[in-house]
Amino acid sequence: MRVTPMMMEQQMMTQTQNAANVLDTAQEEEATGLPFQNPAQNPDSAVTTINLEAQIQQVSTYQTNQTNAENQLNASADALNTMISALNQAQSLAVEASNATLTPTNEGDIGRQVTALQNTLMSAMNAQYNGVSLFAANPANLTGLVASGASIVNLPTTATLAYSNPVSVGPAAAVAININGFEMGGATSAFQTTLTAMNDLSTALSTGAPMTSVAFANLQSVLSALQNAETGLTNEQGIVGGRLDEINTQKAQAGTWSTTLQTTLGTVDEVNLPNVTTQFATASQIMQAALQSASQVLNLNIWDMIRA
Amino acid sequence: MDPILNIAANALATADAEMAVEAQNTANANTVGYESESVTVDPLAYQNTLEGSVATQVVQSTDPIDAHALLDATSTSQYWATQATGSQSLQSAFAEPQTGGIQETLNALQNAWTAYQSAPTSSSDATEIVSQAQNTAQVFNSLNNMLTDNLAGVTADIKQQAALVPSLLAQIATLNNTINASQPGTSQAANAIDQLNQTLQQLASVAAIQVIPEANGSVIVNSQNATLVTGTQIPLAPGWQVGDNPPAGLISIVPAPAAPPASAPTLMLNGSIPWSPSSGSLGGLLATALTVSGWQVGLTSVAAQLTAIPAWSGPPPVTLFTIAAGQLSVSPQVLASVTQLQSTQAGAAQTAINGAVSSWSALVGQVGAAGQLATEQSTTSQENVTAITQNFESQTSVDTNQAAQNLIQDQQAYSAAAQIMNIAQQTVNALLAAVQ
Repeated sequence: MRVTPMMMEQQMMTQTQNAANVLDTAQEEEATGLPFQNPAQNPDSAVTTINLEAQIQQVSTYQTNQTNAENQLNASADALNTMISALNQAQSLAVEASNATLTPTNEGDIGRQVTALQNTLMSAMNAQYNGVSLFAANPANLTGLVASGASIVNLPTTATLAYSNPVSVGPAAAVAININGFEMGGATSAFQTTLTAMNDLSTALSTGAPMTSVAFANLQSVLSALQNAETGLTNEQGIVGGRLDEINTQKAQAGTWSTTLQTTLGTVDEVNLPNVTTQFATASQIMQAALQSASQVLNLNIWDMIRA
Repeated sequence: MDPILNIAANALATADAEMAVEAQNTANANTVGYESESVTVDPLAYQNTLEGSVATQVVQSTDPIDAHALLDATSTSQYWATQATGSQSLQSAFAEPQTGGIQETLNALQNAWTAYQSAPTSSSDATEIVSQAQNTAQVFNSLNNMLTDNLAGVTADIKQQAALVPSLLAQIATLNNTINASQPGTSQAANAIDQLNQTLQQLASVAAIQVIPEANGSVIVNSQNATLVTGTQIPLAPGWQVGDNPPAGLISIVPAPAAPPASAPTLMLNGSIPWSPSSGSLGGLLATALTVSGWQVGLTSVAAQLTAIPAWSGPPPVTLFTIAAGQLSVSPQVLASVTQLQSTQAGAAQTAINGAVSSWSALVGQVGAAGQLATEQSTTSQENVTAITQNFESQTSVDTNQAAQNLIQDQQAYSAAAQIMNIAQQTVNALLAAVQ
């Protein structure tokens, strides 16, 4: 095939343009640190990057939920501790009240202490975290537990988890952050049991000194109820502990997952500097060679020789 | 006439014609598409000692196979180059991750829901959700508007390119008539054929055409089985203008529906024949319009997933977003009563946002793949054009070295013939002087 000056010119132009394109790309990669500037340069990596970013975002959401759930459950554990402590004190007061030598004044003092413990209990039962009642029966009900006499009027009427407020703390892992007292099953909420026992104690003490045999028997019964209530709250505390354990497990997994995703993302969306530098150098050489060839070859035709 | 003088006169004429052709060749050595010319000498006259050499016609170097392939390759190359340009102009809008991009905005919206879920009574968290929702709507609408503007630009380009076709067809028809009116083998015919080839090349770069050459060098031009120009006639259509509504001339454009998402306009030939050039820049622009409108549909689909995010369960239930007239916006009820947002909807919101991110990822993949394909095909098809052009030029273009040699030989032949004429004249003068 005859090679014309026009053909050579076109070939040189193509080579120069190709080298210039490679140089431009390498410069962009080095300047931005990104191996591709737009999806067309690497569609697969573009999609992979978005998906990895989405997964990282998902893990971040899990981690935020884990922290919030952990804080709320820790607050619940603290409130349960307060309740259990109050029950312990109530039991001591019940034992003290059963002493037949107490004077009416002593009984009155004990009654006032029991009333204070009832207030402490109600306060703990209505404790909030971020504006949410820790032991709300219904997460949509932000008013907390409402007691009317010995009853909590806004507790669910049946033992159900329908009012649980689950939060996603991992893939296919949700933890209910609210406690409604039915977690251990049974027909009555542990909070209702506690409130009833405390109310019964208050009623038993209202008979006043000297302690009659009937009142004494009532106090014994109340003491047993208080112990049952404490057992119920302790069980609730165990539930909270179990949920915190689950969160800790998910936290560890999320941490590993996050690290892995970040590492994988780095291999996709971070430029390989040594590789790009080599490409840059090679393209520079190709461009120089093309330009030198063009300057030497393109003028070699007879007309230019005649003109020269 | 004296045979010597006759031979010398013919030789002078032949050398003159050859020099004219070589001068023409040299002058057009760098003219793209120019086919080198040569002078044919009548072999019968050559054998006749009383005639000498007689120039009969100017012949062009031709390579019909490569000429045909070059038109096809040019159309294909322009098709992909146009698509690559159209696609590349939008790639940056779909680049991820980018500050203020869709993914970043959706992440912020998701974070706002997460925060609100952990503090359901926080009015600032509820306000943050609405604020991020407004950002999200703005980003989506901005990209959607960009696609709409881009489609409008492509449509304008289609009109511009479509307007070229009648103009080029008119030139081809005129050149056909010139060729038909010219004596075959003359420089006039050769020049017209050169111009015709260049015009065909221009037309092929706009739209795919089928060219059927006639014996004398004129051509019939078809496109999608519709004859655009015959060898002897002007284009079939009565008018040349490009109109917005049919029937307005050879090519008319039926505008795309105004309602979003926009789509590609439709080209009509002679006001009644749907015409969709499969290649050339016009074909590339039509394909680009279809591609971009497809992306707009995809974007609308992503936005539609966000309308699944509930604001509150009601009654009546209200969603965080609404779509009207192709624009995503925060529901007016939500804007009027931000504190009604229910934190319990966070799960549904995050599910919908995750779905939207997934669809967005797929759309970015489509955009990237389309851009990559167009760029690769553009490069490949341009290389193909270059290869065919080189083949074609190696057969038909001017060899300047050879032209220089020919010109020197022709000059020498002209000088020799002139010398003969001079000697003959001197001989005749001497004889006349002797007689006198």
